[in-house]
Amino acid sequence: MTTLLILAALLALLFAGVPVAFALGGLGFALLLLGGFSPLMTPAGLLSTIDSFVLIAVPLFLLMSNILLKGGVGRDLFAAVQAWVGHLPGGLAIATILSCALFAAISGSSVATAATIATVAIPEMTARGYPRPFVLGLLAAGGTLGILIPPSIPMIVFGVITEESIIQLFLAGIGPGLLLVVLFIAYSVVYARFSADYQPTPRASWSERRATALRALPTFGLAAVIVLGLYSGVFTPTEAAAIGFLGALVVTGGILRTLDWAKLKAATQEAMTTTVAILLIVACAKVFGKAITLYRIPQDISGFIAANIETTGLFILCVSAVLLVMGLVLEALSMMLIMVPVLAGSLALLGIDTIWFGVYFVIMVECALITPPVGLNLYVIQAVGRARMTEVAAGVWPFLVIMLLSVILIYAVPDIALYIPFKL
Amino acid sequence: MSAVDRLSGWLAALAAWLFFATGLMLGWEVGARYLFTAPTIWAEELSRLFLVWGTFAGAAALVHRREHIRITILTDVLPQAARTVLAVASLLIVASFGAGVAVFGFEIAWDSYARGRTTGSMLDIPLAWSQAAVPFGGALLLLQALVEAVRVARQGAAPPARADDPEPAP
Repeated sequence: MTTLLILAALLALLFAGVPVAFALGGLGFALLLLGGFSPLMTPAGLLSTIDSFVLIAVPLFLLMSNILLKGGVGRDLFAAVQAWVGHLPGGLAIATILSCALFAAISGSSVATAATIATVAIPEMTARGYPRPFVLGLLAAGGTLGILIPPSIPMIVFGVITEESIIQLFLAGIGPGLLLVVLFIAYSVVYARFSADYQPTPRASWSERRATALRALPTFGLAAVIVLGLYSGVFTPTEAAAIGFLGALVVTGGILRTLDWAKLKAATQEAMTTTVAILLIVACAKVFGKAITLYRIPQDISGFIAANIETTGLFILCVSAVLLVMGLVLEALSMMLIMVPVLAGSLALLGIDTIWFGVYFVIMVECALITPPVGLNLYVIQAVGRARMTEVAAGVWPFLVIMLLSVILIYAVPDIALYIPFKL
Repeated sequence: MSAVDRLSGWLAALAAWLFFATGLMLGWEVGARYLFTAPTIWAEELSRLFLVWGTFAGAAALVHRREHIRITILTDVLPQAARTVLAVASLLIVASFGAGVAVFGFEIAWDSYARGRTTGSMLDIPLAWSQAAVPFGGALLLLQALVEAVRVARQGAAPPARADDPEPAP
């Protein structure tokens, strides 16, 4: 009963338009007061969450990708990939997905990935006769690679909530990320083959290939340094983010010479805005989490799950169903911060690997990012493509099906995620 | 009222450069460790202090600019009058949360200050240095949310956000 009341209060606050952070924090604070617990837990919880070396990776990764973005790296990446694969059947679509995957390796955000690649890819693809819903859907879905391929802000948050290794989470995202890239490409090639209006792109000349590749090379190099540095244990995620930030300054300010003072200032301010918005939600969710634990809600839910759900498969199926429904109306980070603390207790009981669950959860969150009517990627693509929501929605569902298929695949073959961190 | 806007805007700009400085410090730290095998003793602690202060100092400006992540699916379809009522109510909730955080956060920081507690780490700085960020942020949040509540009550809620200014998010 208490559980339902708290849930109703939370939903009421969220739908009334109270910022997610303060809905969680305010409700947590009120619950502490009502339950006769010490209200000092509110400021203490906020501070102990944010006073964390791991979370410093959040502003630094955001600074890095914002600086690269303002430096026009997205355009360079797309141009390079397109010169190499554009002439293949469905080549522009392939180039778009590969650019998203590459940009994902320097950005921990799915919205940034979608927006960056969309700006260059949408005009190009529609000019080549790809139907608009397909183009919009492709970009909304391709953008989600941003949070599956490391670095990834939701994975940092997941690691912080569950106290798991963020490096292992990052590495576990690579396999499923590549799987999605392959599946998206396969679908695009088949789609282009059977599409009536599709016109192949002429093969780019070698000089063009060389020129564009040379321009994209510093960014490739930076992405490689980060992924390899994390993999080999040379740096922690936070240090990787700091190196990435310095690298972004060198690449855009020193090598490409596309960064000026105004762009740097804008990138810095935008990184601050996103950081503060995200970290306050994380910290307030911690307060809410503490409060509901004192009301024994996660324990009750674990008990309920233990009593009623016997197999891992059924558990994953139920969680997926709940997440898909939540994804219709909630945004990604709130879903993760509300659900993961409640479910974490059941994982060990059912013998589910927490790292695997993190990857699974991120893919489900990605689905939420592109399920209409609420999904940040949808909004961004809608804005960049100057499209109607119905157009985007029409294009996005095949990709949603592909992503759910990939969830089934990583459930059947957990090594797709776990091979790189644990067996390589 | 605009003095509050200016103060929180200025603090948010400062917060952004604190994060920027953190990047430089930690980049230097990695370099110092691998190139000169001489890690610093201050980089880690100082960057955590910057993260705490930056986050709490930036919170109020985001209220003013409506940049906190919100769910607007329901409020966007409501009539203007209902939107205004909900917006004022929601800002008052933010204000009371800020007040609570300010009062109880101050209690914690004051206690540490009065007893002279320190971090007990390499730098051994007073605990109150980081703890003070929480009540400071809370008080600023209270002020800014009250200012916004008065503003919305006077002028009515802003029209629904257009699709072409997406909110920041991961």
